Amino acid sequence: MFKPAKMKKVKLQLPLEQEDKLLDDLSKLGILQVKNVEEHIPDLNVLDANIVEEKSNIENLIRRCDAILNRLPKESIFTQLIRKSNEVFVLSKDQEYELYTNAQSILSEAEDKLNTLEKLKKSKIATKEQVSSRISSLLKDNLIVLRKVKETNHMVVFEGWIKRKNVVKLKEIISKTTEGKCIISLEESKVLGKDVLRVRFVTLTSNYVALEGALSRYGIAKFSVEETKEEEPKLESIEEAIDVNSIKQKVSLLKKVLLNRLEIVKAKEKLGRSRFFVYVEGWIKEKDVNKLTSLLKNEHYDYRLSLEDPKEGEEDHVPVALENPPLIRSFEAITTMFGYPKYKQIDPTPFLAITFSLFFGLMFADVFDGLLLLAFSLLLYNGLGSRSQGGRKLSEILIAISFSSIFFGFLFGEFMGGVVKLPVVWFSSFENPMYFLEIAIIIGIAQISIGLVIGFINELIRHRIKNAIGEKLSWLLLLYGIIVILLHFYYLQSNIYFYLGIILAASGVLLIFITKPINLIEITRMISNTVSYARIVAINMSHIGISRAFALLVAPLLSSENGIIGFLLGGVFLLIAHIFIVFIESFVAFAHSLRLHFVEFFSKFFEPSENVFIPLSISKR
Amino acid sequence: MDIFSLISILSAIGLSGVGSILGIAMTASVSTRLIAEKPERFGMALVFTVLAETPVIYGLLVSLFILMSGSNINDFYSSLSLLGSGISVGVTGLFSGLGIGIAGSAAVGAISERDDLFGKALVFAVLPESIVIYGLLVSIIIMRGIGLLGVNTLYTASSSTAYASLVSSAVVCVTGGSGYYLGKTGAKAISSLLKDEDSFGKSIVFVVLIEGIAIYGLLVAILLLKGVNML
Repeated sequence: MFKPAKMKKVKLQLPLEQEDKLLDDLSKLGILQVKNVEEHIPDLNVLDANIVEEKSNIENLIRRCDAILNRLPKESIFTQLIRKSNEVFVLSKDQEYELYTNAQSILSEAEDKLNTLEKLKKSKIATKEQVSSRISSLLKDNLIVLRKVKETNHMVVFEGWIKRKNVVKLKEIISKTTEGKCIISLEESKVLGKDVLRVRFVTLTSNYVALEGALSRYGIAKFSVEETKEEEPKLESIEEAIDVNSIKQKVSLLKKVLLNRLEIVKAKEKLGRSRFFVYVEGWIKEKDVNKLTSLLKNEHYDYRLSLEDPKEGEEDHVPVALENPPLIRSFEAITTMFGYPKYKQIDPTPFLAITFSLFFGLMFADVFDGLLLLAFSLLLYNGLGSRSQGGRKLSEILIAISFSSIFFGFLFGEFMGGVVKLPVVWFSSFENPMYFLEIAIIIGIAQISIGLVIGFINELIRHRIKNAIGEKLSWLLLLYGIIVILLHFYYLQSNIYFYLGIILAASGVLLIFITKPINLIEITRMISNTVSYARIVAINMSHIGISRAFALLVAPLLSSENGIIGFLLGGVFLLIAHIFIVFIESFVAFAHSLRLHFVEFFSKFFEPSENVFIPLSISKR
Repeated sequence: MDIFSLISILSAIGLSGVGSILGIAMTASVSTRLIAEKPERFGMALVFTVLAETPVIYGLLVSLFILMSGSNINDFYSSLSLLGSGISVGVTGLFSGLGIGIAGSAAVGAISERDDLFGKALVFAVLPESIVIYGLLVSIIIMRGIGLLGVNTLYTASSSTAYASLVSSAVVCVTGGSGYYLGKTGAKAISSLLKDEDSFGKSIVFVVLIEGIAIYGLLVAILLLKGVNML
């Protein structure tokens, strides 16, 4: 926590025949980032034509997998978000190998099936259009287009199409001929438009001849079952016949196997080889060194291993891996969206986890909306979270921040914009915006100060004393000098505070002037950074204001005069309104919390590293 | 309700509405093209499109406040102050919507090539929204200052209160013009992300320099309102 993981440089030499086994074992452990040795040991033979060819083959196969997956029917966004992960397959090495070697045939088979599916779909649509136009033209000259669906000894079932205006005539004929012994059902035809109805009727077999005769006087066009069975084709059934899900599963699995293989081939490209041995160089987290040595010992490798600490001046080239406790690990996703901190510099994730939740909670303070967001986050955690690492991290962040908004909702006494009255524990942010503004600015100053202190420590770690004093400490002095002067004017009347403020601010300005006078221009930026935290108040008020406006609109419905129906209608309206509020306002609060961290906080200390620790690793599932 | 309150409502919902319309139209037109090619990115495109809707929501909020309580205002200076409140959220909403539309459409263009840029592009697309938030803040302070929010009794505004409200509103509106340019520079920054993702941290510094102007405007507005005891 607070610092990226300590790294060790690994240099490993072993016989050439053990190369594949080593890469296989390392990829399962996922602890070593393999470095390209060609850059500094060009004498070793790195480039192997077979490897290059294999890599390009795998990449082509992955592209084909993607193309097939893109052609398959898509799920709706909501389903994508909440659908749970399918059954998990754990493949043995042999199964993986079998899939890999049969990749071409698996993909060709899937492509053939998809082509057949698409052809079938097209022909169904064409048939549907033909049948529709035939029925329409027959209805111009006839009262009804009819087919016999089923006939037993006692009953006969008809199905057909009729124009809406002729329905009365049809009912008249049927009731006359069958003496009322007939059941009729009518529904709109999905294919032929609103003017045409689909009719079904069941009558006694003994009535069949008479009925047919009566109808034929007004015009009856007969259709065979074979001719009309395609009228409304069910595409799902075709997809079932082709078994789209099985194609999807197989191709997705194959893609994973190929991606794993690609990882290993890419690692192979980075190794150095002579006639008898292979040379591996890379980085490993210090805490994983034991795992590596036990692997090499237990699996009987004939190896020579050397482990080194990063050399002085080499820090910028060391890959960075963040290490935080599980509770806040998901917030690393927000830090890394901006970048990874440099090796040995401070990792701001623990601070960010607290302040991000705090800002979001302050902006989105409402117990009910917080609970709605929590419910959505839990659905997301079960759905997308079970299928992807990014989805899991996002849902964990949403769960944390929804708790924060519930907490601040209680503190501010906010529940659905005042529909339910809660006692105000701290203060009502909507009634006291000015007090809230002061709190927001104080929180802002605290965060900027933390940023400057982190920046100061980072500069000291890198032995840049001049920067530490001139670009960090000086700003801290100036910031607090101004604060003490303002406090003197508004709260603390003693002159001592005024002089103390002047001394702090002047020494800050002096330090900036001595080290880098041009930076004095940045005073305005410091002011704008501080005032920027006022957005917390504005977003909070807009959120509560919108909730209150909806509550006022619904108030007449909820009054006792309207009884239970009014209460239910009002409740449904409020629920829909709050789903809308959660969607819009939580997004605004999230985006602006993000902004306050990226612009106001990170700008005080963050120097993104270009090297990220990406160990050789394969998905085992 | 007098003419100033009505003009206030008109500018709050009308101007911010125009901003949102333009913003949504710009983003939606790029989004429709994107989902025709890559339907799986519908959700991301929707986020950027909906983003431009926030200015009109804030305009609606201010309009509703005035509609619900504005009829109680009878004195001339309170009405004049209210005019400042409506104009500040309306004009900033207009600039904000425009800016979000420009940056949002560039963001949709960027995610059509690389969807992993969503988070970074979002930060640039959301920056112009700050402008309407500043307008809303000034609007709320003015409404609160004349007793429209949170208290049962309305205050009687003085001439200085009304002039300070109008001037602070004008300051926020004029500096809010930066919203349009925030969108333009944000769009450039988003396209540079496609070339070099690591440029994010540095680009953001340049883009927020423009927003700084709006923040100075907000600061001056707050100090002005503080000067007439509206804070």
